[in-house]
Amino acid sequence: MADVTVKIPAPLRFATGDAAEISARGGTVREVLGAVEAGHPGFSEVVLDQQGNLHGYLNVYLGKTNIRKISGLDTQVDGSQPLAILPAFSGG
Amino acid sequence: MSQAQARLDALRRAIEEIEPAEAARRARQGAILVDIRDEEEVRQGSPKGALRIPKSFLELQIEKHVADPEAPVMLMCAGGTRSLFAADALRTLGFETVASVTGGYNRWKEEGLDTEVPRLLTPAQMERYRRHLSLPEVGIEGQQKLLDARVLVIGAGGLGSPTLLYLAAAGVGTIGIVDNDVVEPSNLQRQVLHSEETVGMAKTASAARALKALNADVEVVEVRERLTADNVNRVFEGYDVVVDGTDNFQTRYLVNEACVALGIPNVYSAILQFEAQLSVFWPAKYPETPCYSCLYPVVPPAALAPSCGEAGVLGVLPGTMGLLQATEAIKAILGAGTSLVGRLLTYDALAAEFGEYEIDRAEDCPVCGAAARDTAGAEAGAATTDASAA
Repeated sequence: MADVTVKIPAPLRFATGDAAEISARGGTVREVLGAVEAGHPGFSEVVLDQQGNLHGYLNVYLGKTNIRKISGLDTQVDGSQPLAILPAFSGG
Repeated sequence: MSQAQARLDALRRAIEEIEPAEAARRARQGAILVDIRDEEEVRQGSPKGALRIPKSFLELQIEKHVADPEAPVMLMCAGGTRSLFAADALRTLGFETVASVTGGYNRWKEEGLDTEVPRLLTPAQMERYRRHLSLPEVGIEGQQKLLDARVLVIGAGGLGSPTLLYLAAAGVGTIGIVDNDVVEPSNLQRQVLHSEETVGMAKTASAARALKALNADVEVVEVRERLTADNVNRVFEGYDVVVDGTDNFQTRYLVNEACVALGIPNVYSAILQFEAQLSVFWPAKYPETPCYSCLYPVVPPAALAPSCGEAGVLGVLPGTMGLLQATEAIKAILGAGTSLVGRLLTYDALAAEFGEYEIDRAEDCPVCGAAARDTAGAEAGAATTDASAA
């Protein structure tokens, strides 16, 4: 288990009380997102679909790497790299 | 004897000198003939098919054109003297088989060997683009590519404004602008292409006016239409690069599909409030890299993806990102540097932070994945069969 920094993009901050970064504890991405949910009820719905998978309109990166390329939500984290949530924007 | 003459005599003993006819024969067999005369001399004529690098840029540019130092190179000046000094310089660089053409271009022409008048920049263009010409990555050849290029910019808004201005300034020959809006006062906080004078005018017309004022040589194609599935193929036809500066997901997916189908680069950026994303999607050229649909296969619900009109945007943010889009578009045209394909660049203006993320092709992508490629291949095969039958 490690404390991991989770970067929250502007369009999702309504679900984190406007926090741009949250420190959450866990050994996997799933656990870290669960810890964010514990502090900010409703956050999970923004990131995960009803089956508990990541929504297709966003990606979660551990450091520079998309967690889908590692082990998805079961990707191990050790606190050395932040988790960044990046959703699609449309503005131009 | 002067030192220069003594040096020349020494070079004549050390460097192979060949007659123009022999140079022509070797060129036909694959040796590289380099015309090292100045622009003004070359403008009058040059050996047909010769590589042209002015002597002052020879050391800087030769490796860009001749990667193999063992390749036979023949240098030609006007009379056969400067080419000896240039040959010595190339040998110092490591080129092993370098010859100088005796009598230079004057003899070449006298002997009736093939010549051509190369397409060169005009004196006005030479002056205008001088800072580009000094860059080995651009030079005359690159500037010609820019002048010949056709770039389509989707949206003459926040992102499109700086992109369009810098593409025009760079000398991109044909710039298409797709937008069906008119200029409104609330646009002027960030859409620097427009002005108080053009409020109420079609954005394409306002943009064309600004671009022509900046660079009258640029051909501006106004497309005052909303991009749709019905018109996208017609609108995109003939363009080399597309810059996505639109403001809605529907158009972004449409742009992506058309770019993948046509095999042309899609220079993408999207912004919101203080944050932005940028990438280049070009799977036709870089087969293992993603398209936009690989990155975001699903459109977010409206509540999670507000527009800039709803959520706001710092006026300078699209300026920053639009300039990066122009940069990537120009690099794609030049074939210079490392493209942003396969990487997502993010910018957080409030935090003053850039981020970079690896992005990957999704094999199940309906636009560029394996199934889509198979379908495209089958259709191409069917078309070939039909054409053969006809």
